[in-house]
Amino acid sequence: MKKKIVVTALATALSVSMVGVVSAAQMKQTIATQQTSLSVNDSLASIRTVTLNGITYLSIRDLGNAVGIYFEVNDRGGVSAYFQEHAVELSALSKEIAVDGEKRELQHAVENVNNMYYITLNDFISAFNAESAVDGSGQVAISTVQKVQDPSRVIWLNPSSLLASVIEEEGRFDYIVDARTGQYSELLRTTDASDLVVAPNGQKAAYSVESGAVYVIDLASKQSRAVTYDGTIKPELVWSADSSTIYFLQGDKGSVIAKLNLTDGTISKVLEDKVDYKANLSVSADGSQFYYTVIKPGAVTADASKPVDQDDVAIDLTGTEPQVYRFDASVKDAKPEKLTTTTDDKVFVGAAADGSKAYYVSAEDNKLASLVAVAKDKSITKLIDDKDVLQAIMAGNKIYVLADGGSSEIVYEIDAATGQKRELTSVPNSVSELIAGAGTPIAIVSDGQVSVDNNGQWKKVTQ
Amino acid sequence: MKSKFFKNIAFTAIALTVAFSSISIANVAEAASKLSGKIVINGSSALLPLTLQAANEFKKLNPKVKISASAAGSVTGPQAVRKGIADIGACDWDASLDVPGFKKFEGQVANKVAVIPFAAVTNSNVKVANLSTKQLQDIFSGKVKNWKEVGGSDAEIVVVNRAFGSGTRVNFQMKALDGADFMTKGDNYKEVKSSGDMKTAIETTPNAIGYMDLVYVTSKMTALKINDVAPTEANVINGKYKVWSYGYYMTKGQPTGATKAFIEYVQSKAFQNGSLKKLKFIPISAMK
Repeated sequence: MKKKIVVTALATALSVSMVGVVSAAQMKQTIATQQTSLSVNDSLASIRTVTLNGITYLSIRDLGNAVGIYFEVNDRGGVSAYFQEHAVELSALSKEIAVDGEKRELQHAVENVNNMYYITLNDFISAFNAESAVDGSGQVAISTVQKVQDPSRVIWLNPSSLLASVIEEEGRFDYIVDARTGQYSELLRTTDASDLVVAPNGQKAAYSVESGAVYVIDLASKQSRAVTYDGTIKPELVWSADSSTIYFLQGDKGSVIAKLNLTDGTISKVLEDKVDYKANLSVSADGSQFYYTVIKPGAVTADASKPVDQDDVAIDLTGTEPQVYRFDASVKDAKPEKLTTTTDDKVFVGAAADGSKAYYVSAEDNKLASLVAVAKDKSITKLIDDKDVLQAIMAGNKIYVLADGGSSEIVYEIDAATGQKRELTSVPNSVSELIAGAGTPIAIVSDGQVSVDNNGQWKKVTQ
Repeated sequence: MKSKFFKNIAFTAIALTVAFSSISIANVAEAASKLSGKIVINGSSALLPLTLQAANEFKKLNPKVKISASAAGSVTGPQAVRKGIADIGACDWDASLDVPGFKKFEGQVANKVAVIPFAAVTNSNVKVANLSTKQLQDIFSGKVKNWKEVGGSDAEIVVVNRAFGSGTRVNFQMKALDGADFMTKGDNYKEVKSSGDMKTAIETTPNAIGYMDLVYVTSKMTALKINDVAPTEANVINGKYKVWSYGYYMTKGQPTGATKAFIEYVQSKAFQNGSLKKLKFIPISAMK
């Protein structure tokens, strides 16, 4: 049985263990301790520090008390520290530590001052798998909160929490992540569910499984219920604005737009026009206007009667660029309307809640990628055309844009109704993705890690 | 609200006890976000929905990469790559190797992107649920002409075959017929050019038998057991059902640039376990 002793009870033992190695009394006479205020797991903590040869060391006991490390004296004359299911063995005046039995080396030896162990900040972070950051005002922050690691997908659930999905050998794990602290809890583990599509009210999410069945999970109770066992392929699920209905594209080629009644599970077709490869379905708030893209595969001419090595094959890619369509379900016998015909590549962003227009990123050779709005009357408005648009996301009635600003990247917020643009912030070029939701702060992905805008500071919430 | 956090101080984060070697989608995206270029993909009609879905997702983080796709049967994929008119040849077999009917395409690299199960299918009026390899060989060679010879009703069998060059045909011949030859003509024999045409033919032709990707099987037809093993994803993964293949993206040499990034996206855990499964393909990682 392990003898767990908090650090305060170790002083005597430590001083005894160090006899013959260093004179603790001597250190006591010559080294002055200071109190330093650090943010530890989002709370201010007073930590004793000493400076030796110009290097600042922090009291392991104080840090341990702040984050919840348990200590015991081990039979090798050092201290064993137990934290988050890991054991770290430390010895005074030694750079060598053992983490879960594996030897590692610190940058600086652990110091013993006045019968207390001290360690540098970087070495503490390294030994205890912590993180540190310094904000613009110079405040040092240490975090030992375990965070979701290497998520494959992160989206906002509501203004205070995110959904982070991690794919392991055993399947996918979906976690609800506290956007302020990074603390997380498991929502769903699955081997065959599609990505969760969160309802606009932030209270539930939908997913389909390999059989085609659709489930809705309550984000508070974490309970799922089947809504339909219909076996057709559903490439995209889209919630209605009031979170009462799910629209979806149906079939492997996304040919049909269908509507799923969540109350009784009935499915009705909204549009079946034999046009394949619809994608990016977006529905107006009143459920009457449907925007989507259609992509036409290239036309191939190949003569199978000729020898294979003659490579008698030709591809005509004319007209294969995605085009934006609108379908007005409120008009009897209406036909879908092709809103765009241009040859630029179009990356669909979304449609305005009032169904008046849709937005896409337009990309052409040797030109900046621009953000464009196309209205019901097919008129085109360029919302950003002076910066290279790297990504655009529709979030409620806002569009968030990550654009190339040269030495950094710029985040814009655009009012979808007015087209008014404002620059929110700039981020380093290492930022690869923006994550935004309706009414949420923005989050960014950099080096594979997600950070949330916390009142002007980027707070890392995944590892 | 200009944040200076990243500019002033970098995070210090050292994961001491965690070894994680996989590449996340975020990492792939990071490397690719300012990529530009054009990718032309041609070949397998079975892989076309997957390719277009992947292209749509990939471009959201790589808007300057233009991706065009087309399909006219697997063999046209590596042919188009060899001819230099496509960057990726989508093919239902490893075209860098010899297979029945096709010599290997020299210098091409096969990049696995999916697992594709195939099923022998009949019109729903056929009262046979299971066939052995020998029975399939006899039916598709024209030796057995009536369903009553294999336990069904007294009705002439209509054999529907895919045209030469189809990856589904190559795989069905190799794995369901154990390499035996197809019949090539006859009153009750027809050839179709695509998976969609096969689906229509089987659904609408009484007493018809054909074969297709499992994903295309509908409630208006019967997917047969082969040697008493049902064509299910579970039976493919557990090794009991043999009629499946990897789907490949063939490239001229190792892929580079935008083509490489796109293939990595399709192979990423996020896509494999997300949209690829949604389209009823099996992730390549499922096969041990």
